[in-house]
Amino acid sequence: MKIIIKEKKGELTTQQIVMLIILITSFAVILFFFFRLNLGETTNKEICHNSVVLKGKSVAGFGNLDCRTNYLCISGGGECEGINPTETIKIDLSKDNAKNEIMETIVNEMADCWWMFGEGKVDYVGGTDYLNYHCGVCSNVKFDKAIQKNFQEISYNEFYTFLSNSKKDNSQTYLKYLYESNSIEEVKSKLKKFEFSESFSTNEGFVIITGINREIKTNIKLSGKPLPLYPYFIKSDEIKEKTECEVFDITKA
Amino acid sequence: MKNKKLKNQIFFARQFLLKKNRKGFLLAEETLKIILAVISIGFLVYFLSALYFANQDSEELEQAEASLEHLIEGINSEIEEVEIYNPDGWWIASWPYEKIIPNSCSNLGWKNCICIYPKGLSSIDAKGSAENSDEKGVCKEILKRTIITSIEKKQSPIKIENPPLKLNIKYDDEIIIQKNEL
Repeated sequence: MKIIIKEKKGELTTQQIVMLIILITSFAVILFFFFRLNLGETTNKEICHNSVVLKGKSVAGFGNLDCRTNYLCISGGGECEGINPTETIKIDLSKDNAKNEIMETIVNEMADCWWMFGEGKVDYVGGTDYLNYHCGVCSNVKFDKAIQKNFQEISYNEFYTFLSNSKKDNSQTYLKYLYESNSIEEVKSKLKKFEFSESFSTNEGFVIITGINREIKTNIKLSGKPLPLYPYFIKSDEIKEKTECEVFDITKA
Repeated sequence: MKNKKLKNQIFFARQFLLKKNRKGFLLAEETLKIILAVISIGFLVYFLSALYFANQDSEELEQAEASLEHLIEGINSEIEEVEIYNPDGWWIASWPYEKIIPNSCSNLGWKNCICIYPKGLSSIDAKGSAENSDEKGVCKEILKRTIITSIEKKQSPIKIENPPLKLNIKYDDEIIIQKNEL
């Protein structure tokens, strides 16, 4: 009698076995989806942002920036010529708002660039140069043939109006986030050399740049803050001509 | 009585001399301290500046490596124009150049390579440039013979200046890389 009881205690019932299988399977499924989410992924943009903050906080600007240019292809289905893209964003050209989607892609890239380099609040340039603007090329942008065919040109006025109308989050528009102002006129005064009346042609190559000048303001109160170079979306040939950038030493190709 | 007076005089003279000696002794001690402090500060300044310049050099070397990688990737994908932004003031050269090839390429058995290097005093000719590529630059292998030139079909290094430096690449039996002056 005693032996029978002992055996019954150790034995697993069918119900228990089924429960165990269900539990293990569901745990495996949860694990699978958890890893699919890839919560620990660090992108190049995050690595860059971390290195910028670290350098900004370090004594005498020690430490290296680890920022790489993103080669972005905005595609309507084809391939972008003359570029080896690290990222391709597809636009559905059959949609009515395809043009807005293109502009949103550019704006997102500009916002990422601004965020990566500390939103104009971090002094991440080491050394003793207090005169020149140090700039970095966050992204190199090209469009494929389909976009070139459908949208040959987009005017900068239209682009900046889109920035002032699109919300980045509940509290601010993209224009406010990128240029610390809600007024396009004020933005125009901040990007002094830039021609807002012009258009950008999608068959050309563009860059998104930002930077800082470490010039210490000679006001009564020394703010000691760097002068930011607000993000530009500009033809790569026109950087020297239409921006204040002089030294390109904060991003790697 | 006279003896006593003399003894007192000797005692005070000794005391006076001792005091003087002590003062002199203190002066020497202070001087030694100052010398030691100056040496320590000098060493600290040297150490910090060495640390700073090592940091600066490694940053430029990293930029050179990334730019070279970008150029080689462009060549492998047969892209016709590549833009290079940094490191400012460094040079791009392809090898063999005047039958010379840097050791960092030949040691690895590479027949053709491209290097980005800072130009030093010794790099007025191909040999000096090869030495600089080995010591301070970065090199990568390229499978096809490549000519980096500013003059038609003749090797001559190109300086990275006024960024973006635009390089036009032509693909034929040889790869010809030329600076886009426009």
